[in-house]
Amino acid sequence: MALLDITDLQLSMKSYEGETQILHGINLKIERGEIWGMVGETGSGKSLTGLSVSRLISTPPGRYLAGSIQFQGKDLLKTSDREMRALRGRHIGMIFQDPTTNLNPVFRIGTQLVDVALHAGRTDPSVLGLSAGASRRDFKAAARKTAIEALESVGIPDAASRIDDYPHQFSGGMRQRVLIAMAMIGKPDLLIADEPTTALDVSVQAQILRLIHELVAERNIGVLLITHNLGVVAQICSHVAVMYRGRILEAGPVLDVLKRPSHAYTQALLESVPTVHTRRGELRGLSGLSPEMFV
Amino acid sequence: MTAESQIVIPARDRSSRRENWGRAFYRFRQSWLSVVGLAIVLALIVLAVAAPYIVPHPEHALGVTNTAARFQPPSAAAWFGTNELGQDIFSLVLIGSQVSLFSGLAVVVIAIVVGTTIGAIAGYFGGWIDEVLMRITDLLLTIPSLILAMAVAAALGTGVFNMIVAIAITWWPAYARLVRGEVIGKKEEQFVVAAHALGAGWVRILSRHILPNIVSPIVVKASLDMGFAILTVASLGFVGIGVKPPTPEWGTLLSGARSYMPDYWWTAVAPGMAIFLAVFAFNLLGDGLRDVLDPKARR
Amino acid sequence: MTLEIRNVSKVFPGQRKGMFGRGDGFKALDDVSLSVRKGQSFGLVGESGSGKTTLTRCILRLESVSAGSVLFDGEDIHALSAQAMRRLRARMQIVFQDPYASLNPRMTVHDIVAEPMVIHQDTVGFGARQRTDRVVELLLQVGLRSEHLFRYPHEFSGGQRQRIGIARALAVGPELLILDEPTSALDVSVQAEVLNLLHRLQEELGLTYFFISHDLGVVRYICDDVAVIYRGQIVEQGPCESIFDAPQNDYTRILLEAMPDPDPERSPFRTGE
Repeated sequence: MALLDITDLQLSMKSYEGETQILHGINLKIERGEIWGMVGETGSGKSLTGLSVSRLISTPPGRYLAGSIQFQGKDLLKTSDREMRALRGRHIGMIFQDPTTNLNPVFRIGTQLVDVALHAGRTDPSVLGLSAGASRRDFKAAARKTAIEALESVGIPDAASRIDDYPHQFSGGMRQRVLIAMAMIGKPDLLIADEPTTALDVSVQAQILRLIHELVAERNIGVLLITHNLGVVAQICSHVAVMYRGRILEAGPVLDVLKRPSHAYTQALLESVPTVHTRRGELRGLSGLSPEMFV
Repeated sequence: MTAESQIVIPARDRSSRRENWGRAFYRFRQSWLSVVGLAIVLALIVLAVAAPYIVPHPEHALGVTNTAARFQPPSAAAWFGTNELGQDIFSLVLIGSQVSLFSGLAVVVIAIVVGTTIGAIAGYFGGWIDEVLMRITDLLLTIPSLILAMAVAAALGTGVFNMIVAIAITWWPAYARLVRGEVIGKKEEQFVVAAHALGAGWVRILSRHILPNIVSPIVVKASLDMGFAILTVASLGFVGIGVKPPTPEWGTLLSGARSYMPDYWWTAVAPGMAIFLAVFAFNLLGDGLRDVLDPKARR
Repeated sequence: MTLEIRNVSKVFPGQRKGMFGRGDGFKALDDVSLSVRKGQSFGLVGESGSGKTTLTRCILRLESVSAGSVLFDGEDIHALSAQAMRRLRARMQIVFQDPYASLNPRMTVHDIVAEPMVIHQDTVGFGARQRTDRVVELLLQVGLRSEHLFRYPHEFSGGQRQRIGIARALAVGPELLILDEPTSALDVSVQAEVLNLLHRLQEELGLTYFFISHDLGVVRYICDDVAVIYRGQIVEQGPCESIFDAPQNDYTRILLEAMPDPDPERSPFRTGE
């Protein structure tokens, strides 16, 4: 049984223009230890696929026309909101693009991490190293300890004292580390990272990618990394799925797909990135390709 | 691509603009409460305009009395009953809406014009200009509008025009503050920096780039304020320094009914309900507009 | 020499302390010197907070300099009168990073692209009809169509908006274009198209580019010369090939190494496989 198994996922969205289908049958299987890169351009539906897995699309305006998302054998589309909340804190971790807007500026980092730890602990006390009957005080103390450990594990120096700092006292890269720590507190089995390094400088990006890679190696989790950056995929992903207009055009191990792309769109994408050998004025872009060719 | 020689300049069509309105109304429709608010407001405006032609006794609004029919309870002949002078309350309330709505609108419009000008200049230039203008604004904010209106009435005499001016004086500072804040926020937007880089002067930047983009919060505040303006006008009428009788006005009507409570309750209910309905409708509309015009949903 | 920056420093005043005192200022630019050759593309590479945005603002005189001078065609722009500066702005235009924020959402494409001609009416001297013709010509030049004339920015994709921004910048026939991360908010395929467009325009119009970016791949592709800025100082500058092939400075080297290479075989994480 795969860790995550998306079959024939079809999603539509309602808006002023009427209802439009956004996802046209997504199939994707993620095993533990795999880092799946999901690449695609704006409007390809890659983010909506990620949000569907964490069930963060409100219905309406969204509507699932068909398909299932099996997470450890359980269909997430049929799970109650209550169960889903428990899953999100505990088994599915999420990181988003902008590290500034996802931390509440008026609370200390520690308060926010402890909240997450307590939430995870309520569904499963073993996350905090406690048994079910532990007292409230034990819970609080254990949650704080877990929060500090989480900060340490993402490489924040002097975590025990920095835990009482406010978000603005951290740099952009450090804030993203805090968010990763937050996502990892519940010891999730699956991490969904939506453009986790897009807002960061390249030197910081390299550190965050290294961190994600280490977490996978250490904890044997599965990762769905959503990005538009082919370089990032080439660097850390084991597998890649190329999305275009709500469909996966090509998927497989990174070394196969990026070295020997079988789809014209993947080829065009790869030739759109300037390399050392590209002569000026000769970047390819998508010219010469029409959308109909891909469907 | 090959037919470049035949450049066709399209007519300046309105379809883009119409589509923007269509989108806005679609979002507005998502909340039925705001649609209710809009419907009531439109109904009030239509009734106010048409009032002299549709009410059964337009002459009662001019001071004609009918003492034979004093204190009639609501009936098929007089829907809202009659008052101590035998006047038809339905006619009075409907015609009275003209003064209430008009003065409310006038107050808000004056406050917007004055407040926007001062707030925009203060926000755009900053520095000592900002300091001076905003201190004056703060000073005016400390004066309660009712007290000022009474003072103006004492000095210049009562009357609709004086009342409107008196209320507007205490209302524009709120707009000045709002506009100043919005202008300061928009000043750093990239399209404003772009206009600077093009060499645009301050009049152009304010009028073409900044103000059109802060219309939304002003409109929202104005529609929420309309309710309060109507309430303030009615309060002044109630204490007797607004509109002079016999011209009917909701506050005055309510004030006259005060002495006949609770026996002749209908004399108070109709104007009271009218005030409630107007304030309520404008508030609903304002809330709806805020959802539609929220700049974050506008990308 | 089109643009020359000589020993420019910029210090932002510190926070007020008490009634009269001020804290230490923040030095955003520290003795920056560089020169941009006519008809060439000059790349400025730096990460966030490096001072590259402040430098652009100083070049456009949207910000004053604390020391040094910015020479455009031999004239110190910070010494010009307001009137002379306004005339000079027509010769020096900017394309911004964020195509969503840099176009006024309440103006039509026509009005946006025509605005520079309205502002510089005295030098351009176009009537309304001529302006519209010129706008259409510009739209075609950047790969848009005349049907787009009276639409609003929100009806366009990111790449199309960036083309509108380029058309606006070209409207009054500038010699120097400052390109402030013009493609970093775009998808790679769209980035490729915009970069190709910029290259074509440079050849057709003989423009000089001052190209700001954090993407070394893009800079290498489009630029002739490059300068690397770090904490307000230029740490290295020279012709593109020499900087990229044999970087002398440690920071340049770190930047080059951190660039994610789209070739999976060159990933540092894949050594064990």
